[in-house]
Amino acid sequence: MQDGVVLTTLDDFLNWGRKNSLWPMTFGLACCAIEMMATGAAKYDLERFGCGAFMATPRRADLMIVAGTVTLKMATRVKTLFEQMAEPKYVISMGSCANKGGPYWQHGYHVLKGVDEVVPVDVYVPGCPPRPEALIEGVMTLQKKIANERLLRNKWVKHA
Amino acid sequence: MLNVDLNKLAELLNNQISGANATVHFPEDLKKCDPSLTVEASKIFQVAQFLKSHPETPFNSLHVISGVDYVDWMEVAYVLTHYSLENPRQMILKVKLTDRVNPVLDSIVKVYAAANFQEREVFDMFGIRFNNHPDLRRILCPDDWKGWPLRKDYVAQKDYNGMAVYPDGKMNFEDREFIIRQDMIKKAQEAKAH
Amino acid sequence: MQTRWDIGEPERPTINEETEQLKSDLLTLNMGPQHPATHGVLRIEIWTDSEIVAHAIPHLGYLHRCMEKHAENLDFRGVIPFVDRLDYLASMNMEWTYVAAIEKMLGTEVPRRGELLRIMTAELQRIGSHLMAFGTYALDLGAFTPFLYAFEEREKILRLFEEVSGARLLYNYIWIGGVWNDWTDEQLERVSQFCDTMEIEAKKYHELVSMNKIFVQRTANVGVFSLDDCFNYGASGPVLRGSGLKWDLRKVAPYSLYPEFDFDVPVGEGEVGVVGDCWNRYYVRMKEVIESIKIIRQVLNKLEAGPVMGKVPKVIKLPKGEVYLRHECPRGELAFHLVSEGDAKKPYRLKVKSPCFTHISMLPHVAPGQMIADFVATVGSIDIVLGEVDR
Repeated sequence: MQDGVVLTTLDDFLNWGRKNSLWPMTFGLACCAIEMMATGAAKYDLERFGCGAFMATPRRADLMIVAGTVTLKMATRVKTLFEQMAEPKYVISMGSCANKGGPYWQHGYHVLKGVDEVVPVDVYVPGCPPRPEALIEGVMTLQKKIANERLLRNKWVKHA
Repeated sequence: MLNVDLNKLAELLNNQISGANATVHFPEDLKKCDPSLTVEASKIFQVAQFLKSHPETPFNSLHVISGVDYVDWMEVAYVLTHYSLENPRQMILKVKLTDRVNPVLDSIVKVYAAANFQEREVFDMFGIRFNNHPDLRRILCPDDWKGWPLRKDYVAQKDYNGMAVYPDGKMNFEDREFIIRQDMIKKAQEAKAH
Repeated sequence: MQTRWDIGEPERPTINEETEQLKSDLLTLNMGPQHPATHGVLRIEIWTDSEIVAHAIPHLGYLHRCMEKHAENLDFRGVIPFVDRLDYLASMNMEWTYVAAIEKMLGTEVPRRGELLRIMTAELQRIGSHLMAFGTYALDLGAFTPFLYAFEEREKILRLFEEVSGARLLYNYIWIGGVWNDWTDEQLERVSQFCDTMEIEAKKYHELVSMNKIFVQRTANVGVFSLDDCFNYGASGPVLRGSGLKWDLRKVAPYSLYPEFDFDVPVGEGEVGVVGDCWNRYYVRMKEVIESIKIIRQVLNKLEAGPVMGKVPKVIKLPKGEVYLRHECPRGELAFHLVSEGDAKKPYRLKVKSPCFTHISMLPHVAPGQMIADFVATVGSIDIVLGEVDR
């Protein structure tokens, strides 16, 4: 099949559906979890982006917001939970502890220096803790990334 | 400390329990630092029992057990309190351990139930084993962690279960030497010289 | 199988005779480390016999961030942001305790305005922390509305703190010698307005949640901690006060300028349920919010113009010795055991006595015989923050 109008529109339609209903998994580990809860509360509403239903189980979620420090003891569980999520799945690394180890990078013998050692990350949100507006910007960046995906085109279009 | 006459307590302990060797350490300035009572390590269980149920100066609760690693010896400090609205009390009880390779102490879980988790933490961080503890295993670090983290000669293991503890690409130990700052200082000095 | 539908004598359902005859195994459930009750990464291994808990074994360490090791390698001022992140819902109280320990050893004097501002921020932070405890406890039990109400009020406190210190959650505001930024008159006016609205809101929460029939049935007579248990395990704070003892460090061993203030110490009295159960611990927290509002109003009356930061040497060196300093924090008594080795610029050893650590050790004692839903209510009533437990 050719890379034409039909496939592009279908792709846009699927991407639109997926990016506007990202269901996050509650994965609050430390202080960033409080800011994530504040983002989900009434003042900075995350529900208007479609992320209203915070699923506790990974089987029904498509977004994992890793909020907080990941320790070595917890890292194997993060990986297990990520593998239990169904495709297509995305990861936002929230806060500087999840990005690169945070303030505990120098002498933290038990701190994993960034969650991208165990799990592939799509968007990094810096801050300690990031403001709710920063997390919302992270979610919007992820939405822009999803809008550029080529789900059907990658499957059906053969490039020369 | 709060409302406790440590000298009198040391005398009582020395009379009641043979071999306790209770000594009091007063710092130079009592307003700035706290005094403490040191006893013999092998008698800690009897001392704790005595202090919990003594009619004149009981201490009905244990707050925390904290270990300190002085390089030649190790010290374990027990902070005991008494919950009473008329006569609240608090004291620091210390014990010295000279064996660094295999330090051993008696557990006081049967006297104060709060000691359960606290002793597990001291074991986890310093390697001090407690006799007669119902469940002595690591509490904060994972069960298969090697080494005693809060000792002064601790070097962290290089990797744990396939994950690097200090991955090469992410540690900027060189930048911490303030190389950039020294360059700026040099530049400012040269500019001043001209 | 007996159930408790009316509020009467507390009873502990024992393991069924039928199960004894069947000789069935106990089922092992894992509560956590990732679970919807927002306490953080706590893992409790529950061994159950149908719906009743036989053993509960807490496993900690999933958030062990090596704070005590960091404290040994940074100088005294540099440790303050790490102390913030211990109990991230009550940062001001954590900072104040640590800074007070250093100031005791150093002998610095804090100016009066600085001390009063510290008291005001600590009490505002206490209100914020109790609001959060209220919201998440109701969320644990299945109610979503109190969570939104609590967060709305908390946003007002966070806005005030953000204007003064620059951050919403982890402030780094209380420094050695005082506080680093002063409050303007306009901000103090808003604090007074917040106190007025908070009193009205507290009455609303009382009608909505505290006297709600479902909430009462879920929390009254559940998870009873007797006073002897509390002493044996070293409990403090609302857990101890909910069991009947009027122990508040601000009255028993007062520190800073607290002797000048006039406030009450709320205690679990058993208006609903039994003294020492989950409802009484929760109600002690709600009454403490009112007491904190009283203290804040008195502070606003006493404030006068003046400096907020005392004289502190540029390089801080403490004398040789140790200090054990306790303060009354929203979750219990927080204490720092600070050991310094002569003229060093860094602490030699900083040990944190965390109240939630001692409270978690009470769970295996009180769990056997409860149903799983009751166990969730008990865990929530202790108000755990894992940052403090695991350090």
